[in-house]
Amino acid sequence: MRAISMAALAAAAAFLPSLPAQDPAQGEYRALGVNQSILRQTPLTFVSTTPNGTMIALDKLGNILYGNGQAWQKLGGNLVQVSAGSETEIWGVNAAHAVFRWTGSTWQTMPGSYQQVVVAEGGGLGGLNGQSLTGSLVGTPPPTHGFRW
Amino acid sequence: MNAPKLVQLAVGSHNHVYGITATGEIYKLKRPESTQWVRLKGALKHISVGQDGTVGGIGTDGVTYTRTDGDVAAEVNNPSTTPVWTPVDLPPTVQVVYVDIKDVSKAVFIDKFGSPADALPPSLFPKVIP
Repeated sequence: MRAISMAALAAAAAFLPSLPAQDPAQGEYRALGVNQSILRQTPLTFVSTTPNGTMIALDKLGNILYGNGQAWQKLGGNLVQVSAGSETEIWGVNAAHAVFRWTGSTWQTMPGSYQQVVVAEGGGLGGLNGQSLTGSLVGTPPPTHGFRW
Repeated sequence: MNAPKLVQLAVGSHNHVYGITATGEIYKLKRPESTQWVRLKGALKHISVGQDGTVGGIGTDGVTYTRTDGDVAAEVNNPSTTPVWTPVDLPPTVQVVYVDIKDVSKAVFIDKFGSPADALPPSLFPKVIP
């Protein structure tokens, strides 16, 4: 997958639109930083946020979007599911059920084959296997203690 | 019970692991006591759980709900307990298709148009809109 640095993302984000003003009449929510030119192309299907506000999202085509709360930037690669537990624990799977972990600059292939991987804020990593019948939960970064079901 | 065939997994912590089946059945791992799944009442189209055990989900009616960890524990300990799902107070024009909850104060969702937003139900979450 194509590597992209956080510094490059920050530089790109600086030229993107800022948060739209929240309309009180629209209720208790706010649109998150939107690079309209990206989001107009395809709607999002997944979004996962970290404690510091970093967001990782997928659009309908599997493109990976990195959001900093003010803007979105497309990352390289293609995933069918993504999950972020923290800034340093961002995981995803592709259509072939291969597992990837974001290193901060590129996607690193991880062992195993899963239908989904889910990262908890506290570092737990859950995986659902291809048959959806069994899975496992371990600490991150692996390998640490964990269990299977 | 036998492991359910899950189509979606949600992990808030080692003790807060949920899944839903293709028909929306809701399951929770009975942690830390075991790695057995226990079925909860109700049905969801999508589920998320935060580190503090707060559960968020999209009901089969399309409404986004939350449920406290304590309320889930009550049902796990006593299956006759009626669950309390609190609807997220969103404008009626907002139809959520995906929700990601990290804890009682943080949630992000995607609406039917594919746009991301913060969800801040006044009944549960503090108001943090700047």
